[in-house]
Parts: sequence; structure tokens; C-alpha cells
Amino acid sequence: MNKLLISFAAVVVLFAACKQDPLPEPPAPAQGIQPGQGVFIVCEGNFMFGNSSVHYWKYGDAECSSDLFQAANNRPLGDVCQSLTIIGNRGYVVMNNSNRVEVVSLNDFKSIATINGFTSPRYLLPVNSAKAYVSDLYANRISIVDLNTNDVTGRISLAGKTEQMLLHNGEVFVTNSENNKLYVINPQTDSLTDSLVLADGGSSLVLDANEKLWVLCSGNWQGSTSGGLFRINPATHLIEQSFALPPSSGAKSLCLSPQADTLYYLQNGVKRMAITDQQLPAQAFIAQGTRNFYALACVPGGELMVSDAVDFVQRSYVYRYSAAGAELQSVRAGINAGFIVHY
Amino acid sequence: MKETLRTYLAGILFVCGCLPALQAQDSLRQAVKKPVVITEWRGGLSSTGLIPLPIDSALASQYLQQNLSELLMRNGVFIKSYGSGSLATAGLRGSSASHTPAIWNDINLQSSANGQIDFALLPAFLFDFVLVQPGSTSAAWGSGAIGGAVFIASAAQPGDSMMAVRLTTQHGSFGENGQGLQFMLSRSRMAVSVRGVRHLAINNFPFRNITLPASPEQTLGNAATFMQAATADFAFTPGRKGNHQLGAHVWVQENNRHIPPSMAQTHSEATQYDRSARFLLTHSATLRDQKTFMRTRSAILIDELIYTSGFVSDSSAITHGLTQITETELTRELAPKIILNAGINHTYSQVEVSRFLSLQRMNRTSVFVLAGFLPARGVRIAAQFRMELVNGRVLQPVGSIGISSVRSMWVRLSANVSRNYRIPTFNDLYWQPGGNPYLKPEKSWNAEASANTTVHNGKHSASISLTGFVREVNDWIQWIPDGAVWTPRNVLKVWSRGAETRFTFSFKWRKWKLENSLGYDYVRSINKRAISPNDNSLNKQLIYVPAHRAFVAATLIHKHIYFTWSQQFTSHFFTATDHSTYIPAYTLAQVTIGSKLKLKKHRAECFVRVNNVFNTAYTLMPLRPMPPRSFQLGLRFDFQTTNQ
Repeated sequence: MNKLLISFAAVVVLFAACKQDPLPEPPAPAQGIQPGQGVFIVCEGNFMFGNSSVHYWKYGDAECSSDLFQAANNRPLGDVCQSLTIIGNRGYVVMNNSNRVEVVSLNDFKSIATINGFTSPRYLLPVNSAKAYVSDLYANRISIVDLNTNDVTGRISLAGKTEQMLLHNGEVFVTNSENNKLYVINPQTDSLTDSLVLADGGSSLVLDANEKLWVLCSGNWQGSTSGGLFRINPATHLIEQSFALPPSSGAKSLCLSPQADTLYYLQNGVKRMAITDQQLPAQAFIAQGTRNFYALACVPGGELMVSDAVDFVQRSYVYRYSAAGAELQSVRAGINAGFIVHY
Repeated sequence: MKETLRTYLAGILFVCGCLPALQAQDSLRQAVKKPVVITEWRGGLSSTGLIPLPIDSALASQYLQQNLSELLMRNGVFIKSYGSGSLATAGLRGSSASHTPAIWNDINLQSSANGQIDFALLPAFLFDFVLVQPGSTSAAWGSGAIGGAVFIASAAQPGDSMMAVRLTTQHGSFGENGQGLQFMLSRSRMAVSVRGVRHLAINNFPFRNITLPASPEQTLGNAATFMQAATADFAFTPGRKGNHQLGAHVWVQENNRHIPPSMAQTHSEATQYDRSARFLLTHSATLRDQKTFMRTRSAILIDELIYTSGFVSDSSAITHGLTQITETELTRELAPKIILNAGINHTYSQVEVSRFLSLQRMNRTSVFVLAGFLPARGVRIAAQFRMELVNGRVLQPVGSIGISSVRSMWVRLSANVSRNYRIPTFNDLYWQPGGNPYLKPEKSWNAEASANTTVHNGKHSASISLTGFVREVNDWIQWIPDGAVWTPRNVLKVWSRGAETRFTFSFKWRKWKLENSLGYDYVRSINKRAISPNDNSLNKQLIYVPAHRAFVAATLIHKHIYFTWSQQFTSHFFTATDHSTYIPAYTLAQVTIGSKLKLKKHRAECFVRVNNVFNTAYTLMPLRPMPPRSFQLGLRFDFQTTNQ
């Protein structure tokens, strides 16, 4: 009996002593966040895993920060961090599957407030100094937030999954990824004033140097309808030009050069197009190769930031490219870097 | 011949160490001392060279009113659970959830849609025995059995005239209550067993929400689960010779589960409703030559799943599945020491998922041959072969060779080498968008060797087993992005190796008895192929695969009183493929005090159990709280009448 027991113990000790997988280091407090010096990298994490994170990458540094929110607040940020809107020295971190918006101080990422009352929030857009809109995937409405009290003060009913928004000349343009509409809202009355028919899968939009609105639609997620890139006159609400994109094109992350004269977007690589071009680019400006490009941002100086989500279940790489498309640098951020914003 | 085969297969099971496991499920049949006819279970011969993991008998008795995921967890099996009563899948030896089927009365229950088994939907009360068989057995059970398999069975067996009734009831913390009722009747040529079970749990337990400032205590909401199920098993032996036996099994069940929010969500209104109906007809016969045994079985499995997110603009998703299985096999004694088994299996499946997957069908036909050879007493060799056609396309054949020997009175050595496969699921092939109809089956090699020693010393006994294994899976299917669409590809190559040890002993002293089970498992399951140069998962342990697991279950018995202490340890495991996030290690303990009474032929048992004795805060999935310390009270009555 004793021999058996000793044998069992020996086997246990033998295997327990095998090589151990090292555990990740806890995040370090934020350092060196200064306006105009870098970018915030917003990482979605995995749906239902609660492993979202936000990182700061100071231009030129070899590494970016670790998880800013966890380090500053000693708790995880939440589930599926969708976007970060900067208003003054505050950051509004939109937590899609945590149904809330975390308000943080951008200097140290300490939590200031939490705004609740959303279903599946996506983006926050300030429409004046005291009011912001928050788009939503599953609520069939956007929410109105009082930026002074951090409360939801009202709703505007809009059918479908609302995404990025843009304020121009007293009107808010709202993209919609579930149908083919671009909504127009009057922020004075918080009411829907117009709907433009574009293509399914609208998610991002920019305003160019000629004060024309560009909206990128990828087609529906089922892959059964076409998408397109549309140039719209925001004053007349008329579509001036449209470029068709095939179904399942994967086109997304429309952004604009600092001079507002060149468009960039992701579609199996980074595509580049002047606002005066008459057709969509055939070739990628930056080839995707073996990478899995997931987010794109244009930053001052004409540089581009592109994330590689790899297999979506590990930390992303974020690349910095020159205006000429040359790879300059890369860092590893969090899981599924899906939104990058200059600060 | 029939008796010869029975004796032979019974011997195999006993030598394999299966018999204690079969007995582990404290069935009413055992209570009335009518053992299950184990010839009905062909896993014994086909698993030659593989060592099953025994289920602790005391725990099996105490977890009758729970689902199988709870029972397996207490016996050292790693279960990936979203919470009490929520989705729970098993991954034996570092494999995925779709590599561990549940085999019910020789019928594979894996979902055709996603290839998985939700062990939270399998009530332990419905089964006469449970067996965990690590190791690859595709040659015996077809697609999917790469990591191992969990065998479950219910049966009725003609024999002595008797009637028995079992009644169980259990009440616990957080709104838990459940009841089970079984009626069993047997005569010389017929037997019937009917069971019904229901279980309700509100699961409104408190937990610390670590995602909120100061980690306030909250109460889990939208977490109620309700299950009700019934089975009927019928057996009939026509004619006086008893050469034929007919069997019928029916299993209907519905589960209504609310899906609670994770700690990072403010609320959830999601629900999942599962409904299933399973019908199985069997016929077995010993032919006139008394050397040929034939079995035929035909099953219809109907599953429905309705998921509702609760969002205003997001409607529900409904999955309908239908599977028809027909299998016939012949077993013949070719020579005194050679037995040949051959059969054919046809499986038709269809699946429809609202919004995502139109009605899809699949026809699979496979032939299998198994040859058993007994060159000397206590030594046996089994070789098997299986070839399958899927929608008319021939897959690469698979097979295995196993050997088991008793070299002395003390040591048994076993070894098994096998080639295995898993075909893509309907979701893999046809999901819209992204389904990939050009997927190849996953293929694997598995090799293992075991040593087992048993010691009997008067009233005391002890045994120790050690199994080492290696496995390589190629073309492991993983969903990866392709432009805007996720699509499954045969991308991964996974190499696994590890060891399983079990130590059991029984010690008697006067009116005291101590029964003890200890187990320790070590597994390394690593990815050997990167999908891109930036992929940092290369050579790293797969996610949700803890390297170390250990458990102990000790029962001290004095007369009719027993005290059981069980404890499990699970090492940390990663939730990101580059190991940047992980779930910490945890230890759980349970204590049970109970009493078993016997009055003539009737029996009664009552127990009080404390779960999570040390009130450990832990999760098995990120931010999904598991129950804190809780209490359960259980009662069981077995009534029997016998007419000799």
C-alpha cells in the first residue's frame, strides 16, 4: 500500500514540476499621456470575455502603454470597447456590450463617471457643449446624453443599427449598418429631419476639404447586397457621386488625410483615393499580405495607423505608416484593436 | 455462444477496469441487484488498450439529481461552464468541445449543427451508468471521438419477477429543487423502466462584481433554469429459447434557461429553450449456429433550440435538427480465441437555422470491422477499421490497434494506437455568411500506454493506474477572418501529450470503512502552426486547457452513516491564444453527510451537502460568476417487491 501511495505521489510531483506557462504581468500605471503626442488605441477584446482595454502610444516610442483603465482604476474596463471620443481633457469610452459609457480623465485615465441606460452603444458625438448623442446597435434609437450630469436625458427613435455620426453645419448625419439609410437629425430639436437612401452597411463617414460628406457602406453582413462609397452634398442632402462596392467587400474604417483631400479605407489592405478621383482604387495602397487589418486611422503629419488583429483572440499589432505608405514602426496593443484616435 | 460472448465481454470490461465505473452510477437496477447486461455496451472490446476514468461511486450516488457536468467536474473532468445550469462542454485531454461526444446506448448525441454536447442538458438520474473514456475512438464511434467520449446508458432487462420504484427529491440554496421518479418492472421475458425528472434553480446567488468600483456585491439575475425529462426503456424476449431480444428507448426533454449577464454587462434578457426527443429501437439475436450474434438499432433524434437575445431589434434564432441512425452488426466467434465483429451504419442528418442556415442535409454511411484475438489468458489484442462515405465522398479510412495484457497478478499493461477524424459540422460547412463547403475532415493520430496495479489485502484494497498519451491533430478547423466574413479553415496543427493517474483504496476497520479516490491529470496541448508571422500562439498551450488538474474524494462510512469530502484543483488556464489573459487557478471543496437505511428490501438515503465549502470566488469563463457556498438536502427511497 505504501509503495502505491509513494508511486502516485512521485508521478504527481514529476508532472507538476513540468514547464509552467508564464502569466502576464499586471498593467502599469499610465505615463506620458500628453495632448498631441500620440494615439489612443481602443481594443474591443472578445465578445463576452470582458477583456477590453485602451492603450496610449506616444509617437516614436518602441512600446505602447499597458491597459490604462485597469491600471488606473483597479478593475477591468468591460466588454467590447467600441470607441473613444475626446472632449477637452475627458475621454468618453463607449463600452458596447457593457451597455455603458465610461468617462475618464485623459491625463491618468481615472474614472470620473459612468453613464448607464444604453442597450448596445457604439459611438458618442458631442453636438454642443452640454449634449451628446450615442448611437446604438439594438435599441432602434440613439440616446441623448447630458455632458454635465452624465445622464441619459432623451431618445431619438431611429430604425436599425446606428453607427458613426458627424456634426456639420447644424445637422447630425447618422450612419446605419442594418439598412441603407443615412439619417439626418436636427440637434436643436432632437428630431429626425431627413433620410437618404445609400446602400446597406453604412458605418463610417468623413467631411472633406470641399465640405462634402463621404459615407462608406460595406453591404449587408449576410453578403447578399452591394455596398458603396458615396459623396453627398450636406447642404442639399443630394448624392453627388457614388462608387459601387461588391457584396462582402469588407470595406470599412473610412478616414481622411489631415488636408482633407485624400480618402483612406480598409478593403483587403489600405485603399487610397483622392476626393477628386472618378473611380475606386483597384490596388491597395498598403497591401495586407498575411496581416489581418482591422482598424485604420489617419493622424497628423499624414501618417496612417493600421491594426492587425491576427486571430482575434490575441493581442493586436498596430503599425505606423508614413504618408508614402512606408512601414515605420509597430507595437503590440490589446486584443482586437478596433479604433484609433489621435490625442 | 451468447453466454460465451457475454462472459467474454464481461471479462474484458472487468479487466479494463470498466466495471467499477459501470457500477458507479447508483442505479435502481443495482439497488435491486440486477446488473446491467453489459453485452449491450460494445465499448469494452473496441476500447482495448484504453483505460477509462472511474467515476467515484459515492459521488455518483450523491449527484443523481444533478446534471452530468456537475458529476464529471467532481471526478476530475474539466468542464467549460458558463455558470450553474448554463452551457457546459467537456474537452478531454486538451481537445475541443466538438472532440468529446456523449454516446447514449451506442448512439452518438453530438449536435450535427455545431458538433458539441451540452452536458448541462444531461440529467444524471436518467442513466444506469456513466463512463468517461479518454482517448481517441473514431474507429469505433465514428467522427468526433478524438479527445475521448462519455458513455451513458439506460436499460431494462428481463429476468426475475420484480417491481421497484425509486423516488428522489433535492432542495438547495438559491431556489433549487428537483424530483425524480422511476418505476421498473421485470418478468422473465419482458422488462420496462420509466423515469421522470425535473429540476428548477433560480440561481440568484450573490457575487462580487469586480468590474465595478469597490467591487460591490450583486445578485445574479436572469439566471433561472428549468429542466424536465422522461425516459422509457423497454425490453422483450420473445420465444422460450431467448435467442432474440427487442428493445425500445424513448427520451424526451425540455430545458428553459435564462442566460445571465456577465459581470461586465448591466443586464440580460437572453433566454435559451432546448427541446429534444430521442427514439431508439434495438434488436439483438443469437443465430442458430450459436456462434453468431447480431444487433440492429435504429434511432431518431430530434432537437430544437430557440435563442432569444431580448434586444428590441434582434430577433430570435431557431435551430432545428433531425438525425436518423441505423446500424447493424454481426459478431462471430471464428475460432475459440478469435472474435470478429463487422457492421454498417447509416446516418442521415438535417439542420436548419433561422436567418443563418437554410435546410441542409447530409448522408453518411460507414462500415466497420473489429477483430479480437486472445492469444493467452489475460492477454487480448483488438484491431479495428472504419471507412465512411459522406454524401457519397469516401473519407480516408481510420483504424486502431489495442493490446491489453495481464503479465502477473499485479500489473496490467495496455497500449493503443489509432487514427481518427472529425468531419466538419453543418455550421462549418453552410453557415451564411462564411460557411466553407470545401473543408476537409480533421485528422489525428493518438497513441497511449497504461500500467495498472491492484492490490487486495484481506479487507483492504488499492489500485493505481498511470496512462501516458500523445496526440497530433492536423487540419484542426478554426474560424478565421476572410475580408469582412469569418470563415472556417483547416489551419491548426495541435500536438497534445500528458498523463492521467488514479489512485483508489478501500480500508476497513471494525465497523468503519474508508473509500478514497485520488486523481491527477497533466496535459500539454499546444498549437504547432501559426496562421501568420504575427501569430503569437505558436507553441503555446491552447486556450481553456488547464495544464494541471487534481481531485480527491474520500468517504468514511460507519454503519449506515457516511461522510464524504471531495476537493478539486484546477490550475490557471489562458483565454487568449498568446497567453495575455487567463483565468486564475482555483480549488473547490464539497462535504456531504448522509445516511443509508435498509428495511427488508427497501432502501432510503438522505444527505446534506455543502458545496464550495471555502466560499471560493471563481469563474470558469471570464466574468461569469460561479455559485458561492451553498447547501443541498437530498432524499431517496427505493421500494422493491420480488416474486420468485
